[in-house]
Amino acid sequence: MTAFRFIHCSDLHIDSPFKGLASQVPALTERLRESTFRSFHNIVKLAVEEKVDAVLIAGDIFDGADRSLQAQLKFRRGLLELSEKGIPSFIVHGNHDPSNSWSHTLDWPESTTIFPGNKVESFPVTREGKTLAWVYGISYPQKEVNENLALKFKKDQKQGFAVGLLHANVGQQPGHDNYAPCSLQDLISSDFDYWALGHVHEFKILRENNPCIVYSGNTQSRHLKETGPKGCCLVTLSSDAPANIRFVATDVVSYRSAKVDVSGASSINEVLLAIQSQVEELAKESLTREGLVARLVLTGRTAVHNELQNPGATKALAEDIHAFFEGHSPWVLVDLSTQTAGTYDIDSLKDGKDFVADLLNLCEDNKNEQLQNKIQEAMKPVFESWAGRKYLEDDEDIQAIILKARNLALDQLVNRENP
Amino acid sequence: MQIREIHIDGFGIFANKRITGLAPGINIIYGKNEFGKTTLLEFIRRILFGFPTKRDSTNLYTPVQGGSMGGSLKVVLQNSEDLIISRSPGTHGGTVRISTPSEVLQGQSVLNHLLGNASKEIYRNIYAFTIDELHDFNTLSSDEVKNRIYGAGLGLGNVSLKEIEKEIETYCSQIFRPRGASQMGDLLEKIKINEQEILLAQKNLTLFDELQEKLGKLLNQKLGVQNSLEELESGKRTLETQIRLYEDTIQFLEAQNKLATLEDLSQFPENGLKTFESMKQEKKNLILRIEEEQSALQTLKNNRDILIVNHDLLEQEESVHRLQQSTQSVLSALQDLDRVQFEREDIDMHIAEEIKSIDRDWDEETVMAFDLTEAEKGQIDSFYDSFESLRKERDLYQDRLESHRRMKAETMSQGWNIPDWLKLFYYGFTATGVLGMILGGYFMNIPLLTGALLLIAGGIFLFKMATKGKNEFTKEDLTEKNLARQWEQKEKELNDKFHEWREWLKTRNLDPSIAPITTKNIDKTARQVKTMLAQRARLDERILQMKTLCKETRESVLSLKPMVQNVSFKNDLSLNIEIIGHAFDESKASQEKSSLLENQYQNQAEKLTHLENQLENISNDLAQFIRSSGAKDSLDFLRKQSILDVQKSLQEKIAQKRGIIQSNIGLGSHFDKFIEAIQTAPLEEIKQKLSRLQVELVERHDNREQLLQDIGETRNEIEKLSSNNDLIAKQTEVEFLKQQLQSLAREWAAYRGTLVLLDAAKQEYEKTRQPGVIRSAENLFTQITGGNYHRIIKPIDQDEVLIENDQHQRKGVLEMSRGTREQLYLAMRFGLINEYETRSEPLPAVMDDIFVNFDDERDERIIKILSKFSKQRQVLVLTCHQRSLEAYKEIGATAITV
Repeated sequence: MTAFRFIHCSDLHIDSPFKGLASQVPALTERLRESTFRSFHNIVKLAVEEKVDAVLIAGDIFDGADRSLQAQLKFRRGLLELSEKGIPSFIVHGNHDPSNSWSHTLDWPESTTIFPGNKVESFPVTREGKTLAWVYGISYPQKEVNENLALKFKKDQKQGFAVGLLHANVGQQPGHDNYAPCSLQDLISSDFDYWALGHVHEFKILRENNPCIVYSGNTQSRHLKETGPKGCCLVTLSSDAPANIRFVATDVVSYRSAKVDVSGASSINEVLLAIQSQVEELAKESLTREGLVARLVLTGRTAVHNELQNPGATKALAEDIHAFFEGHSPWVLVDLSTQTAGTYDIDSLKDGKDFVADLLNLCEDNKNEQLQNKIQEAMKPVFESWAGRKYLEDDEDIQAIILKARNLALDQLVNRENP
Repeated sequence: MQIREIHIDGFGIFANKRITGLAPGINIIYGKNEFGKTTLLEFIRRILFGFPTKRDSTNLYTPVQGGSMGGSLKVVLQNSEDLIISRSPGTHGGTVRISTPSEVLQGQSVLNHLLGNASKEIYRNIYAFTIDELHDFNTLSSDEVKNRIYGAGLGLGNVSLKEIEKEIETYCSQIFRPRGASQMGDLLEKIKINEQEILLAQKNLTLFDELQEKLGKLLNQKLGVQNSLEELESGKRTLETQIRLYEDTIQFLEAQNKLATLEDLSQFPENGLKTFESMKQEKKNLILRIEEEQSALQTLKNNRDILIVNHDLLEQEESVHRLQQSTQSVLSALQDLDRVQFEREDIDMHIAEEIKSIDRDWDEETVMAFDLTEAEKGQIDSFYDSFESLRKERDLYQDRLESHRRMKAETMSQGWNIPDWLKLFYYGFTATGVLGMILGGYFMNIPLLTGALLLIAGGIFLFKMATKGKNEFTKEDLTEKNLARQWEQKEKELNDKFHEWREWLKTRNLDPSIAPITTKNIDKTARQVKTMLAQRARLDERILQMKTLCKETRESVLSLKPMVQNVSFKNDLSLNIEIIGHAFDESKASQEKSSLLENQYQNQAEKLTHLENQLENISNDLAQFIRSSGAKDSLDFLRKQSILDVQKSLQEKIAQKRGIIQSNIGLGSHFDKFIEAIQTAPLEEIKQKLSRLQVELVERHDNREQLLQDIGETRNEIEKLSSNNDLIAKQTEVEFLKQQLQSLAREWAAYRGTLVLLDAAKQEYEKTRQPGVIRSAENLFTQITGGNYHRIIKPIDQDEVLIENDQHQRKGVLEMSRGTREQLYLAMRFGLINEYETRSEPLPAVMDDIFVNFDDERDERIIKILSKFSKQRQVLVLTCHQRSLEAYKEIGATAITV
């Protein structure tokens, strides 16, 4: 029986920063920054421990636009470690790290193969003089590759397994740029044994066997849209057994968001306890990781709504939480924001015959285009004409703004009246 | 709601005051100045909406004429329900009770419900007001007027919409301003700065590649420079070697040339001079030796000749020896003779004494004759033992006999001497006993029988005792006889033995009276005497020997005297012996030495002859050697030898120089080339070449140093770039800042939205509700002003209220006269009340002398309007003007004088 055992990973995005965090904890910033590299390093360690025959990396090793020398040096360090242990590595460039974004003077370890961008090439993986497999691959020469690269793969070696290494969007996976688009059928009809894919940031087995078509997903989540464990695939191809694909989580930081309902809370302390228990729950789910980044939104109508609106209130809460979880494993970083509302009885207010009732009824009317237009207009100075608008995500709809505005107005009009 | 009665328990100047008879429609309450209009107005307001607390810093209207604070209003509702609303002081505006015919309710909220949820502010601002309060608007800005008027209608109480808007506006501009400092602006600045830095850090990648390339180029250059440096160094070394070895090479060449000119001496023997010299030396040594040996021979001869030997004495060697050997014995003989003679005399005397101690008649011969054999000694001992044993036995028997006799005597004195009559007793006892037994047996009497038995036993006992003593005494007599006989027998045996002993002594010629033990002692003494006799004999012999020895020795010395000097009879015998011995030893030594010298002399002579032969041989060999070297004679040999030496030194020099050169240059072609180079180039030329080369070398070295420095710097820069973590740090920072910016933008959007919403709500309110107020007010205002003004306008985009006259001229509030403004406000209040009461319970309106500023014409009109206004609700007009009272009475108002 011949078996080919290798690690398939992709989308390392080494040294690309965490997104969507507004609060910093200086003690944890460094750990957060290191997380992408640490995850890759975990893969290297896994490769050494498991004594795999090869490590295949399907592109997007770092963000080329970042032009980070450090990322490339760190990546090289990992490859050197593999090389020292006699484990060959095979790499294709993806849309985020096309050939032209790499340093052309860095010398890569001898056992590292970087596939060229002009055509599909193949390289053998040998063990004790015997060819186990041929790895076929092609890199992105530049960021935008719109042609179907899968069609360029032609199996021309008889000996060993045929493994395709490709960074592509197979079957128009949503949420990802449609680079090197191809269909599942394109890959199936290639007569390969395994397709090691990159680009999609989620572990997905598109096909179990004949051939295996697998996205290993990225190795460390860096923003809230990337949920769930991240890591690599430990794959064993056997001549007389079905392929064994084992997902191994290697990420070091879990990035989670949650809403904390503080409706019942009648004091800040109760809010704090609610946050604590929410964080504890998230931490429990992230036990295997070194750290937890929790982005929490406080919701619900609460008597302490006004207190929570005080400037610095959420910051103080976050500090308390950080102090509470200091030394905790995993370490905890929370990013707090509030969407709470006061305890006023909106329905009875709405039934009044005064200004507040007019205001509430105005908000109720979804089809009030005039109001929506006015608000849209009012947003323009920031979201349309301000120099800094490019840094802003205009991701909130008008209804959400109206809801917030309504709550703010009620805070001012109603709560003031009955302090 | 309409008020029917007012009951004041205590409030300001009022105490226990009742105002009754209030009717629906208009009521004119008249009183003189200071009668308490305003107090009454305030009383109504406070009964309905609560007492203020001290904190409110307003007139509390504390009762000044007694009575407890508070009171009640008797009212009728729209649905004709009668109620009494009473209030007494307490928390939250006081304790309010609402008494209906069926129940008594409590609490402000119940009352509020009855009041149609009209707020305190609405009532205060619109329904019940004083002229002062109306005036109050005068001093306010037009905005405030509007807000007060609308404020009541907005239902916001004392909350100022304007203030809220202003506050929110401030928040917004703190967060964001298109120009000028704001939180978002600051963040943007920070982001931009960070992005600049990121751009810089991103250049590191390009820079890294450039530096790597530069490093590659520099390393190549360094390699080139290194190679050329090595070449130059090697050239420099060659030239330096040429200069260093120049002198040696020249000398080498010269020596070679000189060697070529010298005579060929290949026949000349190797090491010839050494052989020549050594032979010559050998010859010279031999001559010297012969001389030495000859003188030694002469010395030996002389020594031999002067030696003298006493041959006569030597012939007497045996005598001398004997003499020497006897020396010690002679000496001791001379010394011991007298002492030995004394000793002998002493022993002699002892002998005589000992003999006398045995027997006076004994002499030495008797003693010598007396001798006891071992058998005889045994016999003596046996005699002695027999005497001893016999005597002991005899004494034993004698003792036993005597003790027996003594015992007998004692026994005789103590023993049983039973008289004969007593014998009858035991017979009697026995007989009586037997008789008793018979009788007892016959009579069968047991005590008698027992007594009879005892009597028999006593009889038998007595009989036994008497017979026993008698037997023993008979035996005793026999023992005594026996013992006496034995004693006599032993006495006889002893006497026989004595006799035997005396006979034994007689046979031995000894005194028969002596005891055996004495005999043994005589034997001992005799033995001692014998020993002493033998000792005396030995001493006699020794004395004789000594005397003989001395005599012989003297004779011997005498015979030797003529041959030895210094021997004299005056001298001691031993001294003479010593002198003779010494003279003999000397002669003996001289004789031995003489023979030794003779031998040596002979040997020396032989040795000399041998040496002379050797000398002759070596002289021949030398001559032969010189001839063999091709030299004519010694001189010629030496000349040739010197030429050979020169040749040798030249060869050595050549070899040495060649060695030096070769050790620096090497062998073969290198060496040949080097020699050729030196032969062809003069030293100066080489030196010039070297200095040129050195200049070039320095340049190249500098070049290399510069390159090394550049390489080091480049490597450092690469290292610095490689360890620079700025990029990710800044990127992370930017992400944080962006997120903060996003949060702020959202906050801003919410606040900005709030402003829009408030504005929209206001417009909505203006559109849907305000027109009613305005319309109603407009109508009233037209009536009041007698048609001078017929429109009130509230532009939607302006906070101002405008009035328009019949010429369509518009006036702002500030442009109006005080009276017109008051009329406008009044009209607007009435309008508001009309509008408000379309959805609520009508409440009584209370006005405190508000018309003082109105002219008569308008006053009249206002009364008419009021009359109409009071159709829908109760109106209470407080006045202190008789004119007003009359005017209101005319329109059918209920007049109440307080």
